[in-house]
Amino acid sequence: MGAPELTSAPPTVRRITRTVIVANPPMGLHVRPAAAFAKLVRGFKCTVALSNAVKRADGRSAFDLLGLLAEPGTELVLEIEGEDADIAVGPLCDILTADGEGNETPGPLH
Amino acid sequence: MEIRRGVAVSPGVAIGPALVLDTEGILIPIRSVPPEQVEGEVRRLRTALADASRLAQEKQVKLSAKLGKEIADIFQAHSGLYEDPKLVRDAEALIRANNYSAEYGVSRAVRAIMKQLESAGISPMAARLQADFVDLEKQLLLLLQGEAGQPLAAITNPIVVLAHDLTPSETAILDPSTVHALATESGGATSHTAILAGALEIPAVVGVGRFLSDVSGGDTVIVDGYQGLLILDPDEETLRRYTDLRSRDLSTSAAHQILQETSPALTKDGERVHLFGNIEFPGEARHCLDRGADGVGLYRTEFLYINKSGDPTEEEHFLAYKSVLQEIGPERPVVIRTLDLGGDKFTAAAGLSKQEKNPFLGLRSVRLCLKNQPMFKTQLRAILRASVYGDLRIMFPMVSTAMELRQCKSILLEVQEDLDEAKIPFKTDIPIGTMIEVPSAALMADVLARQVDFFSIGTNDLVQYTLAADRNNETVADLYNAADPSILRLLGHVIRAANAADIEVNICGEMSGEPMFAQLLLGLGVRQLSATPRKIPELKRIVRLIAIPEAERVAGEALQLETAREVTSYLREQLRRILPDGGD
Repeated sequence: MGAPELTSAPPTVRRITRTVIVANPPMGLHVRPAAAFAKLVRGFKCTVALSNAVKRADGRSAFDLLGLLAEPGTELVLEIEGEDADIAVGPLCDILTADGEGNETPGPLH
Repeated sequence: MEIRRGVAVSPGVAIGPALVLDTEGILIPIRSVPPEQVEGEVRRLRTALADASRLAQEKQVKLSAKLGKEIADIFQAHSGLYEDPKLVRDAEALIRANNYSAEYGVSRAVRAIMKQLESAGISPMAARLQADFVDLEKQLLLLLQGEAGQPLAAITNPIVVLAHDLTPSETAILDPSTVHALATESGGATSHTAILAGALEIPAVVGVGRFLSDVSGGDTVIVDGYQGLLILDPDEETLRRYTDLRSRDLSTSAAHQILQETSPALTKDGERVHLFGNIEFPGEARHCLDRGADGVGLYRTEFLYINKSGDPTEEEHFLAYKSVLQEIGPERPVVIRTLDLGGDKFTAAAGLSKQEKNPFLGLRSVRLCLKNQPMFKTQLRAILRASVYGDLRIMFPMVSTAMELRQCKSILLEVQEDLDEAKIPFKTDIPIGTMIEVPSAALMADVLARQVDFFSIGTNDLVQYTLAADRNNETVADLYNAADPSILRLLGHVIRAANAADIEVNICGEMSGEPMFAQLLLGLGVRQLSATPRKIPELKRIVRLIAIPEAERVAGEALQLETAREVTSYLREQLRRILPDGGD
């Protein structure tokens, strides 16, 4: 059993929950924003889930996100958990609420 | 097991591995592999995913400059999808759990994702995503199969073709010895896919509705072309039943198909009715004779154009026509219809590069020929040269005005003069006819009748143009109906005009093969019907049950009715009345 970083303090696990209204006119959370979102998530350490009333999608998978079929105006719940949650929350929300496809604010990893 | 209902358009049953086609038709060759090869398949999958991702990136870079970042970014997004952990995980799990091939595993994984979208309800967004996913699957299959990606023409094992829709050119290259059946999501009974499947005698069901996300290449499916059923994932008992049915079919078909009965079709009261075959391929001339046809009433010549990259040569035309005439013999007529391309019979060869917004109202058929005279003249030369081999007749399709007909005839005259000069023999007394399939031509029938030796009424187009209902669009299928009173009136008008001018008139649409209409058509004054060869024995049997005065009464009554539904039920009733077994 490896137990690294015994000397350093345990990372602060942050949990952030936000309610987001999907924008991305005209098509909502479609291939481009979903792929960008998943890619961004994969660059962070935190786990990210995005849910609608019936389904919870893994933020790392664009396919999962697309399965939400979130058209513009859909209300989604964004849950982020992990040490870099507060860095991730801004750019992830930006993708979901961008005013049009291709105009989302670039995330830090772009 | 799942049973889907569609429209039966070509009889017979078939069982086989499915070949799922989208636009290019990629065949999944092997469904499962020996256990020791599974890890190799997983590696192939990973390589393909990495390659696909990289290729999409390259496309993005290339297209950025050309189309702008906005559009090119879609490939950036696709590139990300190929790396998606869900896709990788699902596909690998399927391969490992079931010893699937990489192709089959990835296809199942993508289709499961599509299926989930579908279950969330039908929305425009889900439909667009499905199109994206189909493309994704196709790219992966192409990469997995490398150069071996099999186009439709290269199929060698018996398969059942499943598709959203087939273009006529795709249907035409299907080889009945390998393609045992086909089923499509869209299309109706008179779509060209249906007509071609009938001509090739491949069992077919069309208009099934959505099913492609429930099936992967290699799955065993059953097509029942008698009842219009597509059976997915059949259970043991169903498989056994259909295997029996198919072997019975095959053993009786030799006896069944040869119904050669050369005695003429005479009505009960002794009136001669000529029954001709509609054909598409030279090989079908034999089918006409086998079924006791009086000749070929409609030889569609489009097949010469639709599997090609360039226009067919005069020699190719000539050899096809000559072989049909020689097969049919000098005693029976062969009506050759000049090129009827355009509409849904799209071809690159004929110079139809520009996409028309409304192709059925556009540059199709004789309109295209008049605009492209070198192509038209090539065909006419070949037809004239072939005329010496039998009783050949020429027919122009889609004529909508008297002027067009005049132009056609004057071009034909020019070609005749050219042949005369070159001392190439041809018959000088070839009967010339025109199709009546546009309402304007039907209304002007008395004028057109003075210019030709015969009419052939193409009811498929006449119905769609009269009722303004696309025959391939299942959502307006209830409007597209040959039994509509408007069609009966137009037919009556055209037939009267032909009889008054003392020229022959023939019906060559699907309508003429439908037993229910036989009394009506004879009652309206038609004495020639042209239908797909396999309908001829049945038509002959029905003609022999009809008495002309009675048929005239039926036609008179039918013309008084107000709706297609009334006409249909009346004609069905009248058919039952004359059938010896009461139609059961």
